[in-house]
Amino acid sequence: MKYIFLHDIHYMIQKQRKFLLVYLVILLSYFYFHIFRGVRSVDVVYYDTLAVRFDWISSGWLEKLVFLFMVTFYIYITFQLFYKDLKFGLDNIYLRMTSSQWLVSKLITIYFISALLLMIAHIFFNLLSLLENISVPFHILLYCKNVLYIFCVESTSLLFVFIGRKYLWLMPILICSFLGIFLVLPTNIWKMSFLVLFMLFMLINLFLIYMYKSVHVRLIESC
Amino acid sequence: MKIDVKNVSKKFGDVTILRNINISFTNGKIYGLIGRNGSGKSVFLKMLCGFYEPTTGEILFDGVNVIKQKGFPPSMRALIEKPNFIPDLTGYENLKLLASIQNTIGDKEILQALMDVNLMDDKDKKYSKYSLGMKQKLGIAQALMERPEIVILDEPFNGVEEKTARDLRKKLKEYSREDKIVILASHIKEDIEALADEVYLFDDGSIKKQVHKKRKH
Repeated sequence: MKYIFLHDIHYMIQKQRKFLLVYLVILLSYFYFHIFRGVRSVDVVYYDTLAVRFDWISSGWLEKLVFLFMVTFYIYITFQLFYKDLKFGLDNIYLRMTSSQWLVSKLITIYFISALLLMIAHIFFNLLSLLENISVPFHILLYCKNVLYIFCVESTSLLFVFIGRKYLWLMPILICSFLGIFLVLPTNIWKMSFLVLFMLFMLINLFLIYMYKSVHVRLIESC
Repeated sequence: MKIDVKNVSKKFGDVTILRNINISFTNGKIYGLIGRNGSGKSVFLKMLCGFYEPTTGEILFDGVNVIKQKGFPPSMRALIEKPNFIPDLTGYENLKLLASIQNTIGDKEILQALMDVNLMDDKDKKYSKYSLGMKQKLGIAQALMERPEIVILDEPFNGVEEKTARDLRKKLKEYSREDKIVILASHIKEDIEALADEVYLFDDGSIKKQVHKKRKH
């Protein structure tokens, strides 16, 4: 676990820092786009920037873009961290631990890094809002729901890749399902039940661990 | 320990990489696999490690298909591709971190492995500052430090200076005498023939001929 964790942290700092910077710059630009327009509502400058109030039907095109960016960014980070060990360093890791041990360590690291990035974003925009004299209460529950939601997005995208590897013919259905779940259904995180999100997260991860045993060789070969 | 490769073939899509390979590996020997780049040596080594699955045939460890049961072979270490370590850590720290995964060795064994590959003087240098040869040596050190029963090295002498290559050959011979299996692959025939007890030639996915050579002392 320690090896995977340190390796991934170093990887993020060394190889992905440009993308981390782009992530913050885009969110910052969106934040100040509203500030310069004179919009000082907490809902817009804080909640919309972090896409925690997104609703596919009522949100504008800019909010939709920010939401898509947030989801894509975390899926990108997930796949970068997941595939890097399968592409480089198989002999270091896979002869010292089982595939299940590796997957569990990897998922914990991905979730930790995602939670950390979200924490930085929440605190960053909290501070910016205070600088702009916009009073924003830091909602720990909102942050936790945001984190769980992102975890569900990340684990679902991995699960669909695993299923697609095993049953290639299912891929078009899986892609449509993924788009349906996360882009069509309302995603106002305020309205989501924490318990439902948590149970969904646990269920998806159980399936992930179950599926991985039967597809890990195919995933390695595809790299 | 005995490894039996029985009727193993490997295809990727419509492309056949390996055709009907039959080899056995036993303790106390160094096996050399030679062949030009693209002849299937690395694919074969990855199948031995359990990274790839044979399209047909099976690989047995003491009569058991361990890879199917447990996912990876017992007591095996390998250096197959470019070594992958953490750039900001020193050579020593990288090995220590790897050793912490299974926790079967301590500092003494790690330092011995670094000594065996002539990296003691550079053990506290950051990996990002290592030359290609030093990176290769560290990769070999990680394969040897835990004294596994099976060691697989693909092109181990790439970028390694002659003195270290000579020392490494001596170390590998001593290692195999401890009843271990050592499998080396290289496209440089001389490297293998100086070391191996048995040499297999890979050509277009098949083993074309088996050459028995005695070790030069």
